[in-house]
Amino acid sequence: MSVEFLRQSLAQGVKPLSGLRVIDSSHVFAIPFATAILGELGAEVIKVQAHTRIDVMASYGPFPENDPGDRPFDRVGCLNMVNRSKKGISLDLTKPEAVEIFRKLVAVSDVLAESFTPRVMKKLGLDYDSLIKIRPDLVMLSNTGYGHTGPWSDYGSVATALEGTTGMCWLSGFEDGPPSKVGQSYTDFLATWNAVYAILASLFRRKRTGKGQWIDLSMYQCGAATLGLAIMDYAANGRIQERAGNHHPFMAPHNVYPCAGEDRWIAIAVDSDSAWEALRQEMGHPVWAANNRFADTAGRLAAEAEIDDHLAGWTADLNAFQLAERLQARGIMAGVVENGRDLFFDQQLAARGFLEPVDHNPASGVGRRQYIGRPWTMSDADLGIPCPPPMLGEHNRAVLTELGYSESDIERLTETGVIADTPTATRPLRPLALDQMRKRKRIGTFDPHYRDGMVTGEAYKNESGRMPS
Amino acid sequence: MNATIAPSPDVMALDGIKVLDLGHQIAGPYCARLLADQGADVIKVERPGLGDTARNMGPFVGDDPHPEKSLTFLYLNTNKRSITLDLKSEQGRNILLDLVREADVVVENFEPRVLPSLGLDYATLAEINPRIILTSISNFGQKGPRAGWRGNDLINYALSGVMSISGTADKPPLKHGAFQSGFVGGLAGVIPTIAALMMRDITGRGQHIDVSIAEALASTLVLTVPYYAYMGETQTRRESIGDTFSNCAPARDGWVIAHTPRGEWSDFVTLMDTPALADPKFSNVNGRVANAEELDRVLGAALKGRDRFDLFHAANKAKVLFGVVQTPKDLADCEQLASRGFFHEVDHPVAGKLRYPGQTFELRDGDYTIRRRSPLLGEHTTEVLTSRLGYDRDHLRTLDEAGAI
Repeated sequence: MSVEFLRQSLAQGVKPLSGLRVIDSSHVFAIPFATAILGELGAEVIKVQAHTRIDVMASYGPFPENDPGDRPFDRVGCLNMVNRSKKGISLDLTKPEAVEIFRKLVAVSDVLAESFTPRVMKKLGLDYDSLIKIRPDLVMLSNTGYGHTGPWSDYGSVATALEGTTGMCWLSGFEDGPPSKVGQSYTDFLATWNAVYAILASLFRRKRTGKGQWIDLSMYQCGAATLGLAIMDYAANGRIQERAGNHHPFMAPHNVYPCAGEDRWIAIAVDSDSAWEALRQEMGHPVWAANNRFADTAGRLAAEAEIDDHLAGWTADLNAFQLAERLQARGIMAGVVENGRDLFFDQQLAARGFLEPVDHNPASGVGRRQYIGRPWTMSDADLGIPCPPPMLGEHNRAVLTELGYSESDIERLTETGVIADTPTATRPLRPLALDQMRKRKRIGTFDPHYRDGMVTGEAYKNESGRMPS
Repeated sequence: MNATIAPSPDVMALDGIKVLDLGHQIAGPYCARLLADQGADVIKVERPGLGDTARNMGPFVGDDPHPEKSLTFLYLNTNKRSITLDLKSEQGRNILLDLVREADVVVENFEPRVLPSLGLDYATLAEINPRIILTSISNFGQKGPRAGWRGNDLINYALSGVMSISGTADKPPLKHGAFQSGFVGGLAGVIPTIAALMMRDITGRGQHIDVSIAEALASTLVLTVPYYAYMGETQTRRESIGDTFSNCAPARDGWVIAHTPRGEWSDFVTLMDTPALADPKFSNVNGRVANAEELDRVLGAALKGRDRFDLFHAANKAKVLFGVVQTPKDLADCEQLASRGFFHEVDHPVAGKLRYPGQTFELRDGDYTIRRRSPLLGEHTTEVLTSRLGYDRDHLRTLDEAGAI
């Protein structure tokens, strides 16, 4: 049937967004990551940066080998990660000629994604109502903390603070402890995915109707939507849900347990009486577990803390990786609490090509590094990262030439600082204070061999559970 | 109340796209609901008798464990119709294949072994309808050494790497509350699904999409991954000091998250009305880490003296980035969400009138509406099988007697 055709389109490199152009005029993580995804779906993405203002996240690095180097702004790991799969130009939008370039770019683009505060784009004449005069079918996404309307619309936002405001922190944390953040900048990624969803839907609609769209995305609402159940529970039942740590309302045991090695943990979730029976067998039928109170879910939930203590005693000397295999072989839900380094040795991720090696522009000195890919594969399209993150202003010339600017125009624009490839007002970007961070337990043991190899899967092969270092 | 609520006058993005939702619990149904929210015609296919397992998951309206009163089900299945089909029966399977013949998308989140065991793998569906898009959402992906592993929210969080950096050094690793991995899986599913619809316009063919929830969670590690790739460093769970800044810290009547000023550090000092914070050592990340105990003492005292919403509003008006730890009640009562029209009141014959959280964005052209309340189990079986597949009453009676529907 279709197999031959599928091979053909793979070979021809057709991608879902082939032929579309996207402008990314955004900061930090949420929208940059969204447009990177659009780039991997086949769109040509042009990132508009500012040489007059370096992204607020730049000081967070990390820098290659913790060395900011001569061009630190091109060497910021977290920003490079979300800005791969794009070209880059740098404009000083305080200058009218820069705004003119921006408008010319919009005129030949399909999507504009931006994350300025509501006032800025309007002041620059780059709001949706102005831009549809030059590109009537433009799909434009504006991402702000709270949306462009409402009493909080002028409030600035950062994902770290939004995780509290959205309600996520209230519901995360241990039963007897404070509200907690989990992961890093979670709300940013909810905004990333919601942005791509809204843009793709709008592009699909445009294909069928010819109509553009303005999407007023609110990161706050992105967070509130994933907590809809808790809000409905309050509205319907007057109940304010509380923190539950790693526990579950109708499964027990359901937690993480310490294993052999430094900061090694295994997650175990028992979802049925038969899974509990299988766990007892795997433990070798210890006396404590024979207690009749534990035979059904209600009893296990009531004795959750007691069971957790016993289980932690059992797992403490065991190899987490081997134990996860053993439990899964018996049909018990289990998995190692992998750390950042483990991901690079994880065979499942390797089998799916999740961490992708990217070769950077030699002038950046970044070399080859692995980035997070996409959590989906499409059988008919190769979605690999098509190009490294751009250096500041790297494609000024190429993009402006395509827009019809002459060589002498480009020279003049460079001289007047409308475009540039080095920052004019950079704040110093220093190496991270790794010793301090290690002292504060923000980082663990350094692995000097981190650049030796790509994914090898050694974590699962090594008997000691400690990966070679 | 009528099941159909006033339709939007505008053309919605996915008008006319036919989706079969074979999902259960959160990830699959949420993915299908996101498609439905954009106008797709989504038919939810449920097991006869029991239906989507979410119907047995609380919380329930009035804490009454009734399959039509599960908030989990109600929230995730608006804008859909429901039919019941026993996919394990030959007749049930044949009906599904009939539906696939003229559908655009199938969404499922079974364990990877299930669809093939029912004879409903992608190759079979594509043979019947080469334009079909099959979106499979699973914990670890359809292939690879862990494809056959069992998992849930906790296991996904563990294997994603997210837990290893969450919480504090003196406590075990921590996951998010409120079953986030299901929602994340739904979001990660809808993106390639719409992308495949766009690609189908070019190639004329559907395809199989394979989404891993654990990978979607791992996608959020934008510092953890480059920490290792760039420096060979492994992020861990930090000591719980320095938490008064950029973490949950106690105010007088609850919790807040203090963060950086958009302008100068002095704006933060003025906001907190605490001259000791003016020391430049507090004005940058490295300094705040190095002087974390002192920062906690000085800033902690200042925060504790203020009410959380007063601080939140004063900070934001002073252009200082600032969060307030809101409870579900705060969200339900929030003036900003109300002003954005985030909540939609919808009636339901069993669950009654409830407020449903809505869309994450507003559109210039067309508003988010709940066109259709969540369906009762099998509510639309007859309607769908007669109008879409042209089955007659006798045929339906035979199927019903055989337990296929």
